[in-house]
Amino acid sequence: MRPFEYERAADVGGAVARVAGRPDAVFLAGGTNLLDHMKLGIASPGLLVDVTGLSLDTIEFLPGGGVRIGALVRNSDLAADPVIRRRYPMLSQALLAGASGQLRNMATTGGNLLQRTRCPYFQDLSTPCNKREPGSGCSAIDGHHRDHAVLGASASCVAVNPSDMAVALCALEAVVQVHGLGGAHSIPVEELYRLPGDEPQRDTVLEHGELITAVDLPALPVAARSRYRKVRDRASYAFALVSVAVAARIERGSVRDVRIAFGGLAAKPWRARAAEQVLRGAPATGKTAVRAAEAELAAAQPLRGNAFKVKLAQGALTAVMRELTGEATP
Amino acid sequence: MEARVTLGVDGALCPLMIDTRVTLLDALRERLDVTSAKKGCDHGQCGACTVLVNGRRVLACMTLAVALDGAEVTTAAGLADRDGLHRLQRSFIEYDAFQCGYCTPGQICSAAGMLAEAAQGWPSYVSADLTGPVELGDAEIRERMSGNLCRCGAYVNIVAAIQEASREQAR
Amino acid sequence: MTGLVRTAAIGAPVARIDGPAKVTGSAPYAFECRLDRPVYAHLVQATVARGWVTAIDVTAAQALDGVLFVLTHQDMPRLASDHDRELWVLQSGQVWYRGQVIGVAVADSIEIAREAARLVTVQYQAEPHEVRLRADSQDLYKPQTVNPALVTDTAEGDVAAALAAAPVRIDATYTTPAEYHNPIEPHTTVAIWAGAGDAEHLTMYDSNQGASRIAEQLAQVFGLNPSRVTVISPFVGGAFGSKSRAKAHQVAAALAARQAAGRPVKLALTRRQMFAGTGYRTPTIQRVQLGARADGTLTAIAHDAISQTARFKEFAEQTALGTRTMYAAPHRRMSWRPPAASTRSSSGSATSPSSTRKPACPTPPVTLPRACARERAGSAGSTATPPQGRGPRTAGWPGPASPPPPTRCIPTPAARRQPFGRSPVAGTGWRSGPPISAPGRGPC
Repeated sequence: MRPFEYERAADVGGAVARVAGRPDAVFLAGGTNLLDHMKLGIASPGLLVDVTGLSLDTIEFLPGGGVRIGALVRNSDLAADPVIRRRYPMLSQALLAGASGQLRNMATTGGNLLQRTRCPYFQDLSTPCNKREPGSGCSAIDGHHRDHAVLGASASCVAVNPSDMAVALCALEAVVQVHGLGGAHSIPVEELYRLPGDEPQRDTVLEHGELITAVDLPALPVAARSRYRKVRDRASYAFALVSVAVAARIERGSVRDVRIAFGGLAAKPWRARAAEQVLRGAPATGKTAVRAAEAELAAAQPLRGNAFKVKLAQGALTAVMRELTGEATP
Repeated sequence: MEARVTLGVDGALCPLMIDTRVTLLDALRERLDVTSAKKGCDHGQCGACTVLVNGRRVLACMTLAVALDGAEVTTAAGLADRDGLHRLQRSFIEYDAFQCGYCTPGQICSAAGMLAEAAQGWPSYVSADLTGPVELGDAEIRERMSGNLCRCGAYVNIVAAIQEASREQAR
Repeated sequence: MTGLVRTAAIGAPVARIDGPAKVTGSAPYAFECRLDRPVYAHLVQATVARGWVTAIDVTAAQALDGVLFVLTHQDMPRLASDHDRELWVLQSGQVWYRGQVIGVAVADSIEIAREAARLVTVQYQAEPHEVRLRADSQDLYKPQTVNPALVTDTAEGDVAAALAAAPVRIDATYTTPAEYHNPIEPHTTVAIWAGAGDAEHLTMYDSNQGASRIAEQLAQVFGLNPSRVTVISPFVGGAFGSKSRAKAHQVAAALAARQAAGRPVKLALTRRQMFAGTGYRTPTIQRVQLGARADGTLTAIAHDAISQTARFKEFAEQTALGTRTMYAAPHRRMSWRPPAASTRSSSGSATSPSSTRKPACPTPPVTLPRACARERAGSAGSTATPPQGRGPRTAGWPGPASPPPPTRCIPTPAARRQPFGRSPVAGTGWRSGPPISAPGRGPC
């Protein structure tokens, strides 16, 4: 870790200007990903601007019934919030599925969105990685890639986005509030992330110095019946092989409305519109769920070592649909 | 680069002029001679460095000391009350919830934080009902403590010790 | 007249005497011993699996404020003994494995030492390496003995004929992966090299499974009279076999201490470094062939094991030993073949019987007509070899919970009971066996 300056930001505008004004400056919130990277040597900022003192740590209702989540709300507080637990249970479950109790107490909403892939080659300075060093190659494609992408990958990068929270936010059609040098603007969560293409080094569309200030959840009645299911090698404290967030309104055995997003499959949370289309209006049965998953995963391009993810995703979606159907109004 | 910071550590006020790179864990262990927090992985994965900061369990290795000006830090050494050991420390001994002891201070601080979270009604990933009352059965304890690794494998007794302490807390 | 022995502690439910120290975090581990004006060491490691360091530049590293020095193989005095090549640290530019120690940065703080190590630039001439264990490897060879000093291949009767004639036959090949001990306390050591001439003395506060053995090994490596080396092991945060012998990091710390003008050099391996220089259990490929009668009695056993070892130091894991010592049959064959791979040294055998047996013979996924593996050799027809090593000398075979391969006892200086906690009480410390220890002398 090279020496760095440390400052505490007093306001959003000041924080943005400070970081935007220095290419070697970064924001510090919970630090659970940033400090890891600094110790690994894959991030070497010269200035850390600590934003934890900014007033961005509340959860409030929006006019229209939605909810605004401050970027500095800690993951554990967000998961435990009574409104989130009642109205958006998939989000609470997604947060609780991630990391450990200690990490959830430290990590923030904004930081969770921006966490980077845990691909071991990305995190090892001695192995080629196009995301870390454009043009150096991708060690995962012919190496260990069991955890890697089956959708949306490219010849230059097959890494996966590790966030559970982002998957739920994607299914909920959340909108990210961002503050940059030009002022405030909004980005739907789904559009925040980039697929690798030829520029895997850019995870998101954010410019240097832009700060996430909040995440807005729309008023979404269907979200009250929702689930997040995470499938992983261990019962806890491991990243997803595959995960799925589902909100469904099922009446008289039919799927009236549904939202689905997958995690563990791509460099971004994967909104499963093809699956939703199959399910909307269809009988809420295992068969339909399988057809829906097949429709969504038809474009999958698995690698030699992660083809199991396709079936796993199918199984996860079917299982969650079954649970939600079991709770549905007759 | 150095910066000033004042930490409250186990009841003592500790002003420091410190390299900005120093984590809370290294500040405790190398600068303040507080070695009750342990370094197991230094990357936020094992939980051996768990301490309470302003009452919440966090990982000292993933926190910069300079970012904690004015914070109250409690390690396993500071959990004991004036009369002796914290109830978790007593139950860890009674239930033989450790072997080599290296993960133990972190387990205890984590358990203390976890019991406070459960008392506030926080659910976990294995809670059947996100909005219902918290019942700390074994499965709940395991899930809530999953961020603390024990390579000697004392998990069974750790869960039992925490169960005992949580019963004591409820009394 | 003597009566029955009265015991106080034995059989009674006694709380661990080290309990209060451990639950309050006051039990001292090696890195935590209070010492005056310590400096910190951080290892520089090879990033190629095999080859040579052709250039190593420490200029930027040494220029950092707070750096005392950076050691490399260049201008490094010879160690006294290369008897153990794993401990032949910083003696040449040859790289035997990825992660090998090729430098040590020493500075006033952990942060500066780590940054200095990062700034060392290295060029390599990399050579082709083989790190995948394969049954068809061209490099398989028969070691003279297998760990610790057992006969490599054994054979009784005519296994091929017995297998061919057996009414029930099983032929299966199993693989086990490499496994790493990873105790929660990484390997740590503090080295103090004080005095000169007749007063020269190396003291180490070290996390290990046998202070005497570490001291012996270091004395040999540095050509010191054993009386000039003191190793103190206070509390140990787990080891599981990986801290039973000296490793490169201890030599590196001692080399650094020799240049540190009497200041203690503190070295803790990072978790990542735990996968490179602390030993591991070899992956294995094991072919097990069993022949049995219809009633399940074994008539033939063939257990052929392939494991791996390093080119620079052999460790032939005694993979099939459990079969040899525990399963009777008139016709038996066990063999071991490691290929010399480009890998760090193995020395990973664990200390418990169950883990020693684990790589030996995982339960086959088939059921023999009747479980018969643990019959005593007294049963008719058995001409099998009695167990090797110093197991209990009973008639027949050891039972299922047999002890591991021969254990050793090492003479130790007498222990004096110390209060736990970190008071500066003088005394002698010693260790052998499992990680419950008397505390060491001095600042621990």
